[in-house]
Amino acid sequence: MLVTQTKLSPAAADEGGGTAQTSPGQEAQAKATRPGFSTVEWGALVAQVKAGEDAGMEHLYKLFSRGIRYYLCRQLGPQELEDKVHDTFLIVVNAIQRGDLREPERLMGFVRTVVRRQVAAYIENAVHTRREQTDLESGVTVVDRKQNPEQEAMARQKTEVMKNALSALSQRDRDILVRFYLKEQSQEQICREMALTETQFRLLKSRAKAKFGEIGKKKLASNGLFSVFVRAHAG
Amino acid sequence: MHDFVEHPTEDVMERFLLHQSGDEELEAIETHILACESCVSRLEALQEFIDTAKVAMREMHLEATEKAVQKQKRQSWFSVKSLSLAGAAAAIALAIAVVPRLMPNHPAANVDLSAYRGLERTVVPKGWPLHIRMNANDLAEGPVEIEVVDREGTELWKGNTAILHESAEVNIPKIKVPGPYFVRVYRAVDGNPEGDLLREFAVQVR
Repeated sequence: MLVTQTKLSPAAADEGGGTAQTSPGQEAQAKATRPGFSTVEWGALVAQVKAGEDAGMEHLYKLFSRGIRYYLCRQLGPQELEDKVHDTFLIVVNAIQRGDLREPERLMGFVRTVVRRQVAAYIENAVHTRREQTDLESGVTVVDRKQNPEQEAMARQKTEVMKNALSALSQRDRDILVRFYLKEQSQEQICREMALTETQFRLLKSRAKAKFGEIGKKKLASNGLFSVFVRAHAG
Repeated sequence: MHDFVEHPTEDVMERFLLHQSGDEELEAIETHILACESCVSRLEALQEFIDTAKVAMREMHLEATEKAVQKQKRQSWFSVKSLSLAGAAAAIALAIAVVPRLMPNHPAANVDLSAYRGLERTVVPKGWPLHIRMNANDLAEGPVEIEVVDREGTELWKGNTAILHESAEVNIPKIKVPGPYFVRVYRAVDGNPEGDLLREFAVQVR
């Protein structure tokens, strides 16, 4: 079930702007105040890691662990996630210590390259293992990603609120959302088929989402699901 | 070199989650989110919305489809063809259920039986109630029992009547299966539960 997807990065669920209740028009402000990494001294960090200092290691791990976890989970699923995060982190540290990263400012891109290679390696390994095991096993083991009853009830409730909110939209606004989110049509296709300019599309989509967020907020005030769309009203 | 420090916009995030990002945009957002917890949180919230929206939209689509099908079915009932078929079916049902009750029953066929078994067979119509008048010459007046049996001696019907003026009359229900039958006249006597057989008439149902 789509709505049952595990949170990709368990930590800091209520940090940042994603789940905060922000009003329309506050996107720019929220963007400016979002915690980031612009103040990180990449040179110092890389030097610390290269020297094997604990502070550097800790900082590196704190900086990248959640992002790496999210990325790996999105690409590979939640199985053995912690091990994969740890393996990736070790590869990055070892590479830095070997002097593979010559320009510390490129640390983020470097980490991305390592993570992508890790994903490719895991997939290749999974394919290889599956081929080898095909002769031995008649079935395929599938990880059970069912939610517990409470989570299912919550997901059900969210879906019902979503349906109510969708019903309250105009046919045109609803059509835009259905095309974009459900049918996953590109913006260009939607614009072409609905005779919209890109600006019109963005405005209509953001207005529909904002309306959606308002309705959802009223009906599910305690839930953060709809807050992102209130913010989207800005644009 | 890209400026990966910039937080991606909502639109960029949506394209990322819907796998619609171009190469450059993908590189930028993937690199950014590796080191930005707040954007990971935004992505998670957005993903949850998209997932929930997809489920809701699918359900709404299914519900709408079901309604449309039901409506079509209802409308199709009112087409000329359907109405004709429905009318024909109703007429047949009416005929089966009601008409037989309204139809008058066959009047009872009058049958005079005068000969004993073996000497003469009276032919009676199949499926008609019978009003039988039996010759009772030389028999004392009084109550008698009438029994109808088939050629095997199996009893089909039994009733009572009386001999009066050298004759006994009885109404028996219709016999549906053609073949030879016998109408027996008994008089009850003490010591014989079956009674004395006074007469036996042969009839042929056709």
